Amino acid sequence: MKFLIVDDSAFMRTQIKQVFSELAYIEFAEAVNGIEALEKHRTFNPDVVILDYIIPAPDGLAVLKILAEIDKKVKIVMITSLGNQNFIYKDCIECGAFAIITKPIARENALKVIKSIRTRVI
Amino acid sequence: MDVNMINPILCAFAEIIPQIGFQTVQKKNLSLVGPTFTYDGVLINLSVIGPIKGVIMIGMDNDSAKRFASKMMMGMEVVEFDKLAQSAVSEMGNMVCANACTQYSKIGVTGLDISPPILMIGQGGQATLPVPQTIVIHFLVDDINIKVYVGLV
Repeated sequence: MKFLIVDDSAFMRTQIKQVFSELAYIEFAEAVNGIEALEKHRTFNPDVVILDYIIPAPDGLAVLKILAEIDKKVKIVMITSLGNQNFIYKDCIECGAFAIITKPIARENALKVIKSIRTRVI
Repeated sequence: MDVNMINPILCAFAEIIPQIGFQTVQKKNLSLVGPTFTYDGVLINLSVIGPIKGVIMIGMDNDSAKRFASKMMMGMEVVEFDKLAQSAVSEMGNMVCANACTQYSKIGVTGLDISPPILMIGQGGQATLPVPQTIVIHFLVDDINIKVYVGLV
């Protein structure tokens, strides 16, 4: 599987790679802002985008809307620290997010994502 | 600010810190200082907007910051407080304050949002918060001393 990780935090990009690479064989690409995310999506053609809700412009929600419109196959997993805030969940789901994970990313949540992606991909 | 309003921040610390690699979180004591205080080391600044407004700052000395980042990075040695270590500590601030917003929503204070973290490093630095008094919460996280400065109205 190919994952594009979009987060402006170097620590979070490292942590996400660690958590997911323990669960599956994954090829990673990284982006630190919305513009780079859209560019990397075009060149890397990921199966999954792990997308932080708050990133330098365009923000995570705007990138989600664009990617959901131009790529019907990609699974977009939103990550946010603002867990359990209903308006974020509502916005993300309405805009086409495949899943939403709160930070810090727990191994069991990452595993759920991997399982559900495999179920739908295979 | 009503001191009871810091409970969501205490809850957020107790909830998030164990999830990022630490064993124990102890609240040591509370104190009140004026709007201006000095700091040595690292200070993470997060603004809060919504029905409650102001600033939450998390401070620790340089050595503590390196040890804190090391624990977050699964024990990786942190000799220099470099970009990755800075990112780790900033992310802790982000996660704690975001979780505090969630805790506030549980007591009916909804619609809070936070700014991305701003990391400041210095010796003898001075910070002035937009409040008459700042609540300082002293935490011992494993063996690392942390001060949380709360200036919310």
